[in-house]
Amino acid sequence: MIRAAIVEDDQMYREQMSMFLARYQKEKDIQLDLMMYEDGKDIVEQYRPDFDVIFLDIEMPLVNGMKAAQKIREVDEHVILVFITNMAQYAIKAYEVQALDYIIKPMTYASFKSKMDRIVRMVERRIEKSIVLNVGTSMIRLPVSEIYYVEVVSHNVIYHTDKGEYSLRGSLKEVEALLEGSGFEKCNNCFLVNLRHVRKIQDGITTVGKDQLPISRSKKKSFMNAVASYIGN
Amino acid sequence: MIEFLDWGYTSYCIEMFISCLIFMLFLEKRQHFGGRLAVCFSSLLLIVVVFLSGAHSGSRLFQDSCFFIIYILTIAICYVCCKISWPDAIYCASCAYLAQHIASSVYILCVFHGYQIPWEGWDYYLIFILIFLIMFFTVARWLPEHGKYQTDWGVALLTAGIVLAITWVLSIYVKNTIPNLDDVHSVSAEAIRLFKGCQMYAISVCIIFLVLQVFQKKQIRIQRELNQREQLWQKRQTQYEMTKENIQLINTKCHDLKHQIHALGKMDGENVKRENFVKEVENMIEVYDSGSNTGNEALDVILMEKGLYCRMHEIEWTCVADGECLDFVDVIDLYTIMGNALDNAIEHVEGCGQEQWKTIAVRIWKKEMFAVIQVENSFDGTLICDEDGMPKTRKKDKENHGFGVRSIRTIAEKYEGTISIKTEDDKFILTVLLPIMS
Repeated sequence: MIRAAIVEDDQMYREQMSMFLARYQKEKDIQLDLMMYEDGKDIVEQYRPDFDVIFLDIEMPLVNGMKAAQKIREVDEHVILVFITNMAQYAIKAYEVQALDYIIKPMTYASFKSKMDRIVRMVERRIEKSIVLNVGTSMIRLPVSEIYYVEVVSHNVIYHTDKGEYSLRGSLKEVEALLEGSGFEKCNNCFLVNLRHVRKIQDGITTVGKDQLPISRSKKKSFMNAVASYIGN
Repeated sequence: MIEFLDWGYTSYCIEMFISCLIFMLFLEKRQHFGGRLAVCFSSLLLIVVVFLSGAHSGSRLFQDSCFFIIYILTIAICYVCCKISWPDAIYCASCAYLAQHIASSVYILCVFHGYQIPWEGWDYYLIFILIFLIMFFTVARWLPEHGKYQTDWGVALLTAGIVLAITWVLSIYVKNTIPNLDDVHSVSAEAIRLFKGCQMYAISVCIIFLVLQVFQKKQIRIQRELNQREQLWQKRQTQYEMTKENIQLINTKCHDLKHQIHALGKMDGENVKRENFVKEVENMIEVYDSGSNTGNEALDVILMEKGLYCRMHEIEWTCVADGECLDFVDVIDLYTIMGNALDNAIEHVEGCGQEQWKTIAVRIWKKEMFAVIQVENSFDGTLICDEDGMPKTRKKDKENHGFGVRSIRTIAEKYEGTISIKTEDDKFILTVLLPIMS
């Protein structure tokens, strides 16, 4: 389910957007929860981080889109922001508030649909996945996003996470299968890296979380590709 | 019939023809290639039978010149059957001659025991087929580029000269100086050894020469590519300077124009119609006045240029760009990356039909210690990639295209970065990832 908000002072555009959203909802069979606001002021007042995506018109009488976005970002760094504007020049600055994209008026459904596809993909990616590990005598539930990387040492695998390290018997192959599709890639034969935590790559060494791991020559191409693909999305 | 045909020359003829054919198969063929082949082959055989069959009784010199005549004829055959220049035809026939010579020398090495060489039998066919196959899959395949050798007269004549030196001088001369080789009975063991030794030399020289040719061609190809890249680079630089000036000019003019129009509008305030008109014009100019301001000058220039082009050609253009994160990239490199990426996107999009919805989106942002550049465009076909992961160009001019993406990859790798190409739904996405150098 996607929780969306539209902040637009022009009634005609508000109606058009909600029509587009309804049509999109039907076509893709996705649940959409929608709130409408007439001005930036209305959404900023008593803002709660309940939304997945907010569509903001830039030109509004009281608090315009840019200002509203800045205020929202102060308390919510995860919500996706999309600007609606009839002037391209403001849009280029959208990165300052980490806006995903912008839509130019007048809007077409095709253009809207394309941007929604991207938004939906991003929201779905956020859904947390966890795995369960048998460490010693206890079972631990570990959210995948907290894993920095997994290391293999003789017959053991070591999960390096935010909260410490977990070591258990296993092979890297099993771990790869377990974490398939969650954005993990091998940088060499001993390390399976969570692409989300790749901070830096320099001189054949990648910094993952706080550790530096070497990238092997044979895995370099596939690893770089995976990083580019991941970040590019 | 068999006594009538001088088998020595005829088999040599057939061998030369097949050897030529092996090389011709990789060249650009003329129309009715099969027909031409048939005609040439029959004419060749006819000439050999009619004019050269009496050669066995002729002088030594005449016998040796027969080989030379057949060689000249094969040059003509190459020219007649393939769409190539005369130098290329000479080059082709020469390489074919070398290949045939290798095969026949190997055969002689294996078979010669002091008696007349039969030029038939299972070992004959086996050796020739084997050597020809090797030639087919290696030298013949690797030498030409797009169906041509692109040699000039100098190289062609040099090759012909070397070939003739090896085959004519070495072989025929050797045969003449080692006595009694044609005479069945009295051939000393030493003569045989000497003869075989000469064959081995001949084979080595031929092989070395062909191998060198292949390497040289590769070198030339690489050099040409490098030259082209350098030219492109220069072009980009000049383009950049010109565009920068143009855009500065446009910006200044539009800025002035905007003020003038505004002043005009204020003059006769009563007229509502005029006011509306003025507002409309102001809106139109707004587009041109919006000089890009991403924080990076080179980026501003290229985005403005391509953005204008798109808007004028009804391509939807969106751009969210943090130019400052690209400050560590050399100006011309950045201009080349963006220029190529956007040119490709525009080309893709303009290749779609009129009714298709055309859009190009540019995103540049910083994540952790990476600068990410992403150019996305709408796409209506399937993407075919070659071994490099580079999209196979749809254009006929393969030489100059696919260059764009390769250029981008080279520059990205120069900064220890990488690129990734993806097609999704109906979109084509090019992502360039550059580690930020501190």
